[in-house]
Amino acid sequence: MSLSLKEISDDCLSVIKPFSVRRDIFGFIIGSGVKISIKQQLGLIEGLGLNVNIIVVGLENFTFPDLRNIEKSLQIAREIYAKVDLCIRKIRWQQIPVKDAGGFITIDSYAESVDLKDDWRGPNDDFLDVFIVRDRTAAFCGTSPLIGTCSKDEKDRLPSCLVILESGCEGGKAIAHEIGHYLGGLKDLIDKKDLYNFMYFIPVMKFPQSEIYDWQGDLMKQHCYVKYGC
Amino acid sequence: MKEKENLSKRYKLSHQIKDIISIKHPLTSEFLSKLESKDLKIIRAISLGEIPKISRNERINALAAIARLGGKKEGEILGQILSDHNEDTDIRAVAAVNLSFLPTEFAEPVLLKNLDVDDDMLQFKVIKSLGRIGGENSLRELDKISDFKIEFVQKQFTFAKALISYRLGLERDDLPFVKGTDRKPGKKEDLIKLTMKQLKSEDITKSLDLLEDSTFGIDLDKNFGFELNAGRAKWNLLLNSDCVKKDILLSISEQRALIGLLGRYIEETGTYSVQYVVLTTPHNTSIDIMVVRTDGEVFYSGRANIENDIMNFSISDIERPGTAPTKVTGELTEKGIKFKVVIPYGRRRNKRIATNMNKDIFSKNLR
Repeated sequence: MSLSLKEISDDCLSVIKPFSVRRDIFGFIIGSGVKISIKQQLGLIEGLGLNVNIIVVGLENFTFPDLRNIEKSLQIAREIYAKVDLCIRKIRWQQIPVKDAGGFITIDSYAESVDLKDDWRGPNDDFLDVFIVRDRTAAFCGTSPLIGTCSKDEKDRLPSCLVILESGCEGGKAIAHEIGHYLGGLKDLIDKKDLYNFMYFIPVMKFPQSEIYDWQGDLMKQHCYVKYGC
Repeated sequence: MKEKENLSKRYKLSHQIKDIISIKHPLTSEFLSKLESKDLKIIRAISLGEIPKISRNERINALAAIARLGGKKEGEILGQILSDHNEDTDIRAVAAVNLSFLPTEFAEPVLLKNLDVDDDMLQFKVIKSLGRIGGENSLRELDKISDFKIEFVQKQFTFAKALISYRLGLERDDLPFVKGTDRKPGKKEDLIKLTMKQLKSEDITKSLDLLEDSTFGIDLDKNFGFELNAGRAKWNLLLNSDCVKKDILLSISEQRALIGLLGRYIEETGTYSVQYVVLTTPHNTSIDIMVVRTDGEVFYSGRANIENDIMNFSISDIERPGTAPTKVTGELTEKGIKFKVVIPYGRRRNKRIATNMNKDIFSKNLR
């Protein structure tokens, strides 16, 4: 089956022309330095997938390489999920300036990550919010509920993920991992022999943790944020 | 360098150390008590950056363990890192935050020594920690500085002084009382269930061990505390032991107090993280209650009256972006807590919305 860039971008992504492959098909804001597969992405866009708001907290503290790292991380997540035919379809970029982010530019505790998620959200209801914080003093690299909600305003549930970008955290794996939690990719069912699984997360593991079981994909596909593209 | 390599060969990491530096186990006292002296030596060496091939992340996790061990020796290590101008500012900030886990006598001197650091973010962390563990010495030193150019540093500074004053029961550094909104009952489908029950001693002990944060300079009582449930979210209200021992109602009617902490339950880890502190101020006939987030933002407030050993209270949310309208009235006696009116809405209102980012925005602002 041939894949038409034009048809898919018109039907599935609501792209306004002239479009850029990296921006409109992959949702990248810088787009350089990330290895992509157009065929793979186009093949997945029509199937089950989710849309993501990337919310950069304290934008002025980020560098171009930082943003490029976020894009690389998103692509790593895409490649992991592609193994179970799950797509990260649309990506929208938002930011919170330092003056508004306040102390949230560095996360010191889990409760602070909750406070950030309680105060802020992305503009699109049908996009999963992923906050990106550059630094932390806390001993974790990301936070996410174990199976998240699709309502961004519920008081008693955390409606988004948070990923720390700082170098010790290897953000690439963290984005895939935290979204995995949110969609219900259950870490608890992974035992110690599954060191290569994306949900068995050790931030500085020297080998790629990019394996995903079909059953994890099946669980994640049941989440309310996961829908058919067009 | 050669010395570092020798150290690396000499130190073989045990499973427990590997668990610590890869965050595979909550840092409970039971877990940490199993560390042998050679393990402690290695954890200290990792914290000080003396062992090569240890990542920055592993070092941050080792520093978290050092903080929870909480002794004099650990205080010296954190102090050494905080005071080391050759160390990365980010790691010095980790040391500053972790010092808030230690007793005042170990942490306060070194935090004060670093109060005038040049880096705004590092100074922010030092001030934050001083608020959590500082005593009168800290107030004296904090009184000498003011006017921060960054708004959230100024806010943390004001809050830090208030925290110390409330903890010590001093009549100064008011945190302005913000009146809660008088919420009316709504449709049943808009509300969630809100309950509070007294915790058993063993559950309090367990949650104290699973508390991931500083105790804000107060001893938390092991026998009297509450579990608060709002829908699927859970907090433990852990109370100031000095107030409980004296008689909680008498304590809060006599002087200002940092009466307790609300630790949010984290389902991913099964641990608790301090989300709010509860501050009280007595007046002639009533007591002001403020539930304040750890960045100094007042979230809930209300008033209480004490008559015949019964405290009647009313607390509601402050109107702000992201608030979930809530109002609770009830009574507290030595037998426990009883709610009379409970209006807990299940949805947050007017959360702040992040703004769209495009190349124009970040090309102007990025470093």
